[in-house]
Amino acid sequence: MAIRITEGIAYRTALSSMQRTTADLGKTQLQLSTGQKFQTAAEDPTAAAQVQNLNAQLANLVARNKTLDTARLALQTENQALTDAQNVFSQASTLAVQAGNPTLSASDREDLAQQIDSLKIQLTAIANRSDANGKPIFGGGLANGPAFTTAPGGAVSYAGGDQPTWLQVDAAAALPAGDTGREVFMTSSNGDPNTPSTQSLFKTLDDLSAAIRTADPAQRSAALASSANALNAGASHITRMATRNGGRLNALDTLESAQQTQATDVQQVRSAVGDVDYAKAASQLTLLSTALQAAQQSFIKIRSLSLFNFMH
Amino acid sequence: MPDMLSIGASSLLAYQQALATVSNNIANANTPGYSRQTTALQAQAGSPTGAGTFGAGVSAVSVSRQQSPFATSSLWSATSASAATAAVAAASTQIDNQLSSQSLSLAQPLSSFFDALDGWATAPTDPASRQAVLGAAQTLATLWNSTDQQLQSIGNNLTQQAGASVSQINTLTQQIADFNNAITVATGQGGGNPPNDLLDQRDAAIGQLAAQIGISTVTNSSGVMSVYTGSGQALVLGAQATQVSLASSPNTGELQLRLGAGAGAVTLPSVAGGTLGGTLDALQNTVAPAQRQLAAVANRLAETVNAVQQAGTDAGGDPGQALFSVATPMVKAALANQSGAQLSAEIKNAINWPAEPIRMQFNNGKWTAVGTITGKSYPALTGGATGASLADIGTATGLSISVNGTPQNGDTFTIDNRTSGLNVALTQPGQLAGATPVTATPANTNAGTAVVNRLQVTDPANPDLRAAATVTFPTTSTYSLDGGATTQPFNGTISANGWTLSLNGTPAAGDSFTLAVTGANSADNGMANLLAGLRTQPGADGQSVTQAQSALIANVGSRTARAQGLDQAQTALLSQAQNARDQVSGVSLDEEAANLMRYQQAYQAAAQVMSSAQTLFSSLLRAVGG
Repeated sequence: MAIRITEGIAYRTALSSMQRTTADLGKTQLQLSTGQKFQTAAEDPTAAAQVQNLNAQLANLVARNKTLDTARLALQTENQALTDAQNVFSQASTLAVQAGNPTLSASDREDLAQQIDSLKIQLTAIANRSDANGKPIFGGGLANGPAFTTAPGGAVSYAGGDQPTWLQVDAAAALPAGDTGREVFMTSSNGDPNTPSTQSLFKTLDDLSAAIRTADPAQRSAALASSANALNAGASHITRMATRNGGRLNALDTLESAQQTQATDVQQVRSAVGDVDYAKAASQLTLLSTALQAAQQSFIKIRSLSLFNFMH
Repeated sequence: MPDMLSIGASSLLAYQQALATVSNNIANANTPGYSRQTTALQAQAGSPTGAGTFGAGVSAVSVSRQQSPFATSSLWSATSASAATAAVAAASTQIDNQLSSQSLSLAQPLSSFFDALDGWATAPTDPASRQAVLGAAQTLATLWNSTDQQLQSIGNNLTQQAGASVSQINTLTQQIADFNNAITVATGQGGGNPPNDLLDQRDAAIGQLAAQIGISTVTNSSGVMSVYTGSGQALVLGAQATQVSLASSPNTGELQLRLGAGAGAVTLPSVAGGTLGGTLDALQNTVAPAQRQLAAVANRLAETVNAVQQAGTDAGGDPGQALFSVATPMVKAALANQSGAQLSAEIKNAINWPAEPIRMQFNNGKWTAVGTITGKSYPALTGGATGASLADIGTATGLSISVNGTPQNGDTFTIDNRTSGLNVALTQPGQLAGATPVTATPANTNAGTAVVNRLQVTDPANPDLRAAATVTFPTTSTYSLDGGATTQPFNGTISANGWTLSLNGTPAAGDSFTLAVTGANSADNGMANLLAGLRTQPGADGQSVTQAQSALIANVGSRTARAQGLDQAQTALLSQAQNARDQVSGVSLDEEAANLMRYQQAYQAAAQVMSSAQTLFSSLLRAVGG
């Protein structure tokens, strides 16, 4: 039996295919205008979840990079402080050599000793430096200063905390954005090869100042000799701190460039998963609009054919 | 003996009737539910003579509608199926748009919350960075709850739609019963001839009913059609319609369809097909699961964040309080429960929460728990009939369940968690606990160079986390804890009570470090780092909070894709069924035009017969008149 194409069938079939093409056209148009392959998860659930996870990865990379910048700023500040401390110690060494000259008068030596005293005040000021937020850079977890206090007799003691601030500069790496004042200023050595002991950098300068002021030449000479050992030990302690700090700064640079590469990779993957292929979408748009036009024109042509047109 | 005039007259009459039927077909070419009618012509019985039997003309014996009961009932079942999938697809699409469109997605506020935590971890003492964390947490909770509200209102709309559907079902069943009655009367009056238009109208009403609910039909010999639900309950019996209504299940609170009223009422466990079936399906299997999953992710977020926050120390030097609070699961006691015993439940482990309602039943001193969707059984608990917390079931379901009162055999409870109710429990920025709970300090008398490098919390749940401790170094390479006699080799790190301490430098023999609770205004960021790290920290199931959130999106997305796919398939099937019905019953204008010409020509020919008879008669008269 031949199929009877009734009015309802003819109109329904033509209309539903035109509606389908119009819907596809709308979808393609939306892809082109938003630049995204899909607008909601239903269109591609797996890719939608993937894009969300990639976005989260990117957000984490951005956050890590911000943290890394904060760490770099803190480490650079510490680096400056350590360089300044090194200068203090090299000046002190020069003065110590001058003080060894036996021809110096008592008042000359007093001048030198006073210079050492002021170098110690400089060192205390360096040790008490704060960052832009007023937080002592050698405070070791102290919210506000000072990290070091000076007793009336001149003895400097550490008033800070014992926790360096660690920052999560990378997904897999955290590093201290600074060191405690205890480690930097209080754990140097007396430099004595026979009976080594821990000594603060301040005490090293105090000892030097006292040695220069010693009146008895023999005692002075002995005191200056052990001070020279302590000065050397202090200078190399500061250098060790500065080297470690520099190493961290280098690590930050390496991590940052790795993060940038990773961010570019993630962006590329996200683009491949979630961004529309413009060439494909544009040709799809042309194809669909041609199809729609053809459907409309052929519908009008076919529906204008009717036996009634030939009846008189 | 028949004569030409009466034959001609009979055929004029018959073709007039046939033309009337054709005209009626053309007139109703676009009437929904109209079935094409045809006029059946029959030769009138002739008169036998000696020369044979001469025909006596033609008569129109009946007008019948072109209809296939099979095609019609296929159309009805396709209509039911398509209406059901359309309702589910519409609800799914709404939820998908809500959860996954970029502007409404929870991914953004979740990411901002972790960004704020990262900002705070780099500036732990900055009040502004603490305020930013609290603000981001508030925004996240607000958007979370508004998503929850949206899902709830999608559910409310569906409930309203089900109500509208039910009242339409009642109107339609009454109409169908009335049509059945009218058909019986009209068939009698028409001498057994079918009342075509009434039949069409009744079929159209049944078609509309099929769009609301899945049905089956039975026609008796007199053309009266009875309508039943898919599961066999009568909606229309002859001229009698059954009223239906919606009722909440006393056990689970889910909407159910009730047939009839009073003592004879029947409650259907489920409704298949039609807008009503689709709407109830969407409520139970689309909206509710999305709500449960959203709540499960909210619970996971609150749980992981709170665990770290509570292990830390806040700006006031106090242990941290929970940052987020969540809604507790709903426990519904079955109406038939014999005792007044009550259960209460709290989610303790969001990862183990199966995101489905759990039905708990007490029998012979033993509780059983079954997931109502998956049918999964959770380990039963013996004893603990009253007052006890049901630890076995609780561990498996992630719940902490406790019983109040003495349950009796058969007592049943349903535990469901559909509301996120995510709220920020802290009000002051200072309450954020970003500092490590303990602080390590070297003794004043320490002679070595050992200083603290890092003190890290490795197990926030350790009950002894805040306990005071002393690390003593009897030698430079060994240490003992709390003055104990046992020493352990020292290689840079010491772990105890949920923390790990790493040291720089070398301790001298006799050096010691004390660990004491952290005081107020600490600038330590140890716990803030851990909080920020939750962004990527995988939970026990390997998923981070962020991943759990995007898994929810993927889940809703694939469910929606499936619902849309089903709907498209059903739409195609519906269109096929409509075409199949129209092939038999639809009007083709070309066909009617051809019939119009055919019957018109026949009518003209019959008129010619009359005219020829008249001419013949005239010739006879002329011949006789000479």
